[in-house]
Amino acid sequence: MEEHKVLLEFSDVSLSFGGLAALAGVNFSVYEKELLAIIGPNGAGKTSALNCVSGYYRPQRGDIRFGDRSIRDMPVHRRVGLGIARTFQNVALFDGLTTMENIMAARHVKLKPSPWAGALYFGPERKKEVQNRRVVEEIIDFLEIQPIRKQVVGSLPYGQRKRVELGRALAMEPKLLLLDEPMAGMNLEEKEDIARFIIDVFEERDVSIILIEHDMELVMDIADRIVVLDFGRVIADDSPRKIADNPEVIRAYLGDE
Amino acid sequence: MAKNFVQNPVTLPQCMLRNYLQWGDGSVAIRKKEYGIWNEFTWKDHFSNIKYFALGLVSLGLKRGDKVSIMGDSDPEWTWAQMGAMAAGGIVAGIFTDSLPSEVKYIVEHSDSRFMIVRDQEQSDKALAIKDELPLLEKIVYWDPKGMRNYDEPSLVYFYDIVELGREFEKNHSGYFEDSVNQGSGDDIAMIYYTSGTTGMPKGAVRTHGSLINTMQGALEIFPTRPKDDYVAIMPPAWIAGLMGEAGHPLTGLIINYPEEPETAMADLREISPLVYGGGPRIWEGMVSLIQAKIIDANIITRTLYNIFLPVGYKKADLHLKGEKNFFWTAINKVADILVFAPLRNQLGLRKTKYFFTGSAAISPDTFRYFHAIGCPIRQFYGSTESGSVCGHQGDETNIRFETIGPPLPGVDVRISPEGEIQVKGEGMFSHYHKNPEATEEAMEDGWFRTGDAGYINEEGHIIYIDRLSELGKLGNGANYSPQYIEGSFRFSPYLQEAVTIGGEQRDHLTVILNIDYETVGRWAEKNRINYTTYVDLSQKEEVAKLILKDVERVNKVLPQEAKIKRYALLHKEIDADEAEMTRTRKLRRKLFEEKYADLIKGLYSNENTVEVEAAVTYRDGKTSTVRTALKIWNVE
Repeated sequence: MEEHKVLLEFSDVSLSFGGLAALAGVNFSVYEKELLAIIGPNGAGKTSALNCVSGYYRPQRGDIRFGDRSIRDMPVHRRVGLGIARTFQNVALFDGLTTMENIMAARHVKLKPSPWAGALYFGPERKKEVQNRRVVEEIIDFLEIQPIRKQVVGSLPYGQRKRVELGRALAMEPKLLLLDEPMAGMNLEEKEDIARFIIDVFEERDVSIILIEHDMELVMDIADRIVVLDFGRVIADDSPRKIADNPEVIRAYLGDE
Repeated sequence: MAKNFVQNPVTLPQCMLRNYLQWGDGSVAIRKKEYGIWNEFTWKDHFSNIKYFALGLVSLGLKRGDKVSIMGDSDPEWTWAQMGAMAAGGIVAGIFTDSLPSEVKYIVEHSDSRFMIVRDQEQSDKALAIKDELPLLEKIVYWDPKGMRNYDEPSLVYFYDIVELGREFEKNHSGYFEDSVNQGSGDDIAMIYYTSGTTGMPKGAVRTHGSLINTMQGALEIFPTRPKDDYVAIMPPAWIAGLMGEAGHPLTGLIINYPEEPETAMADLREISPLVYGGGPRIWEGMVSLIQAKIIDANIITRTLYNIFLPVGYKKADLHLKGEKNFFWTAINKVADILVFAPLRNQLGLRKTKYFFTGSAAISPDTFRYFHAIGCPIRQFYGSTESGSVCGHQGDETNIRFETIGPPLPGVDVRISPEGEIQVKGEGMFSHYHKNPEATEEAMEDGWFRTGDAGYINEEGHIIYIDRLSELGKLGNGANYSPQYIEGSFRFSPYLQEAVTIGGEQRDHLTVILNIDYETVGRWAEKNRINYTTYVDLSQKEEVAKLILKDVERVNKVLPQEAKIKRYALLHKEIDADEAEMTRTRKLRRKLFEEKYADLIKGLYSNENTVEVEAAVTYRDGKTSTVRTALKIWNVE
């Protein structure tokens, strides 16, 4: 992975809420075409780190660079334009819209609509809509959610909503995909399905992935590299095999003897 | 090549060639739903895929008479592979997609297949797993490339790469394909249909082109289709019924519509609303259960209208089936049709459907009457993999009889043996069982095929089907009963999925083992505030047993006094083809089932109210384990 360029870089990032330090001088990088997992006990700062990337939080100290520019102070929508997409720990979809509409909604960052042409659904605007629908349909096919294409998302079971959310993130054609516990609350079969989709996304598309996940076995299987957070600090940053033997990681997870 | 190249086609590829020459680019041959859109293929598009796939196989070394196995869901590629292989002189064996690896291996090995064509990654894995044990198998061809990027086995080829090979091949072999198609004769073997049968290892019924075309012509007597009529391919293509449903495609230019995924088939069916729709009784039973379950959940207006008008539909259907005309009921039924039945048919995707048929096993009279009542005049269509099309309700609706499976089709002779078995002779029969002369001998009696079904012919010339001869039951007290009839009646209930009748000469009364429908019973339990955790738990609830008792009493009402059901049990698990309790076409393997649940059956004929059962469960990956539970047994009355 070292031959790839750095895509995202955290340098000395600190974030605190009042007196509580969520991130304390965090340093790590994500390379192009890399599947990086962030693990750590509850409250270690995993989701906070992700929120700093997507723009939910702004760190008080340090810098976050995406490609060759700093995104530390950039508003969320511009980050999306750069190619950063995410899914949420708790599914956040438009409940009243169908699966197709939810994914289509994400395509709107790719559209540069002119209100007149859009209202008339004519000429290039029509073409754009058709093109976008095709991208959406390819994603639907990819995630095997054809049977729920026209169903309202609010009525779907949890596992399928998670899939739709992944579909929406993919529709933005991201360079960096942030997945916050995509397998939480799923049974074994659903987990295996999602894991397969993540690997497929990673292998078939030109994308880097940051994955937060608790299922260690799965993380060890699919991640290229693992960053371990504990109390807002990076305590290890290594290949899965070495992480498994790292005494500090074992201590963070299992406590002192 | 002359335009009237094939005047009188005798093989399926010749039929396809004729259609291509007749319609070319001007007419739609098939549609496939993809990315949410129905994509149309003209006869030219359709046929060129068949042609170049055939030539691709030839360039890979396929010789006339070589065998090709195909496993996959209904897709255009299935048809292209099938017709392509046949056009090159090959013989096709279909495999059900949900077959276990051991079943797949048996068929590929037994048929001596050199090529195996599969749909996707899952099936490619199955094929690769057995490849090393099958020296004859050379290439595995897949048509859905999803997830296949990391495979580098040299034996694995992409479907469309073969089509490309075919195009290359044609550059140096112009006219090869047409010659190959032209060489075909009606006596050439076209397909080997493996029937899992209700006992023993699968048998491969060998069918020639001539016999298949005859069988398909028989099907068209029941549902005559014209060019550009619609059909939706929802039956498994490895089953001969799949080909019978599509009969009009090669013969008259019927358009086949392929669903997007097996899971979307019902929604896709609704979008097309085909002219012909049918299948095994289970399709119809499943539909009744679905309607009844939806009606239970419907709003009060819908429910009331349904409850008022359904008896009208029944009344009209009964009169109609008796051949009587009554102006009053016809008029009221018109109203019922506008208010209830037509919208209902629309919901089911049968708005434009004209021909409804059922076959393969006995349909329960309840189900049959029900569909006639809601304006779907189902016809019976009787036939089998070996016998071809035998009989059915032909012509207009006045020829449909409630209790019969129709008169024999043109060119088919039917006789009843002294034991009461239906025996058949005709052009549409199988030739023999592949590499199994003993079984062939056993199945034939001086040129007549022994169907193994019990029945008789009435004075109108219609055949009446009773049951499988081997399954027809007799109780110790001399009373006869038909397990299929009883079980079909149970499946009419929205709350039940399967039923198994237990009886026999050593017993004096009947008992049944029932499978609840997890979804509908689960919903009923929620509505009635009954807590449950799993299928096992739900199936053993006393409230559920009481709910099901109503169905037992309903069935008992039509059974003779000497053959009533006295006790019943609700099984703790679903009866499953993966555990070989059923065949892939969902027919019960009675003997195996009775052996497996011997303890339970003993309990049903004792005074005990619970039985400890231990059942071996085979998971999809082949692992086995045992489950122990206490099953409750309930008394009727």
